[in-house]
Amino acid sequence: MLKYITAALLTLALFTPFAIADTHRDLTFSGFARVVGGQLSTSEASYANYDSSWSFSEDSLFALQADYAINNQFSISAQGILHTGPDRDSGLDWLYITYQPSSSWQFNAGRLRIPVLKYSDVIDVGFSYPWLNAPEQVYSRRLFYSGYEGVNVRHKTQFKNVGFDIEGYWGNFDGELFSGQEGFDVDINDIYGAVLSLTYDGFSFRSSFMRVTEVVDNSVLIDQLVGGLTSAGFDELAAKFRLDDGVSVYVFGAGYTSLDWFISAESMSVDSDLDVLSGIDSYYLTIGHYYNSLLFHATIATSRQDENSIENTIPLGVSPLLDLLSTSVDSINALFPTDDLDSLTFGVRWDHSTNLAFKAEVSFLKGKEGKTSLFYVPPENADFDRRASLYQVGLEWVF
Amino acid sequence: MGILMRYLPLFMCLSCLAFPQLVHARERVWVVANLGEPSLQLSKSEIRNVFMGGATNGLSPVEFEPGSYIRKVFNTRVIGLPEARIQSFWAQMRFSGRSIPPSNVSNIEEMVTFLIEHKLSVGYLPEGTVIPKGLTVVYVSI
Repeated sequence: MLKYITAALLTLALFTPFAIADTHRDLTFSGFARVVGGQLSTSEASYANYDSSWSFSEDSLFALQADYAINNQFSISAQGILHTGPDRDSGLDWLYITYQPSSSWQFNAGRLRIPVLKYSDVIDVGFSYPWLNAPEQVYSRRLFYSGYEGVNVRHKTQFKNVGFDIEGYWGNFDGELFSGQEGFDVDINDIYGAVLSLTYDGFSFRSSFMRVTEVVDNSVLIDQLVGGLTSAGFDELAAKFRLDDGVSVYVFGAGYTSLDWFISAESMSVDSDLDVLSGIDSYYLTIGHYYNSLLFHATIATSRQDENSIENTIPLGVSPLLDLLSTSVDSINALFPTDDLDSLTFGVRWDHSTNLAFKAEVSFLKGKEGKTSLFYVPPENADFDRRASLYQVGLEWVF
Repeated sequence: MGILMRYLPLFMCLSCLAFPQLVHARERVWVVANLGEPSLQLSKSEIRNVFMGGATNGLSPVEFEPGSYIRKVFNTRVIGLPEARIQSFWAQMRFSGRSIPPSNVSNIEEMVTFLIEHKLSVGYLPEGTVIPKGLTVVYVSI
């Protein structure tokens, strides 16, 4: 149904004279698009869906936003996105009503995006950040740019010379909890979080907390394993594979921006109550220099994921059935990500005009052998050394 | 001498690139508002918040169009950010539903008219502009 609404919205917008934005202040259309091409230096693996051949379909997209002001305090907004990437469905990513009783308070309800990271709710709006590919170690978790259905409250205030922006959100969503090629389908019935941002002159600080509760497992793979373990009497081991507990995410970011240069960093810590998903610590640090309409930037990024603590207690050689079960435990456990990765990225952005930018960047990736390291490695290339370079070019457009 | 003359334009261009801030070295802007309280003064941080989507203290900002000279001076002297960074910031704000950029005017006359006609609006003008009755200079850039 949402796809039809999106299509209708896009059709309406495309066939409506753009003068409507100027002459009818209640209804405005805006949008963004990006065309991004990339190639990985190796044929042994893929990374962020890029492989050894140039592809322009992984991150390219077109989006249209319609904002309708009902009166001075209420408005309705919808944002439809057409993706070309294989991992993303096109559709209405945002659909919400806004109530703004004053310039300092804002309430939203409907389909929204999770604002856990600085750019997680605008990850599709490449024009808003310096890179073509936001650091995978922090931004690859699909959870963070999934939509949720719920409410959001924002408050802006100022104390002396410090600006405060406080945000709280609550809702639920269906989606994949894990990154990587092997997604496990889960429902998340409750998600809530808060964001506190401070700005003082060119300095900015941002801290964010998010809690995912009531993970409900829809994965047939996991269900079969848990069923097999339970019927064989390995209840304790079965309990460790159940995806029925919560995950907490803590983010801290800081930055400084001046006329000539900027420095920006975010660190993220994921604490999981799920035995199979161990904790993750990751961060990135970007430094950039503005040179008229050119921006040169460099980013280091790192992620470290602890080994999960599941010990395969099934004895081997007792019976063929137990041997099969033991092998299943090992193979399914190996599907959970172990995303240790270091990277160094150099990029340049050229703001051709106030709404069009061209970008080029190269990322040098250094993972760890035997770990997933955010790569997808086919079984036949298991000895791939997890080292590669990603080359990307693209354009970002807003209108 | 011929070589010097041939490369002089290049050297001049490179000098401009290396010291872009010198273009505005002697320029100042007045931040002007239509207030009920003529004695109100704002700090640079407060003005930056008002014009960059932060707390507005009830004020509605209005800006010159991108590319105008006075806007460049204001960005340099008060906001402290390059235009490209400001545009990417507003893309982030607009498409995450947080806020939209201030209204734009195209010249000084339009700015003055807009400020007079809109109570609690705040904009900026080149230093030395004749300020009509009813408008107040709330900040003078360094």
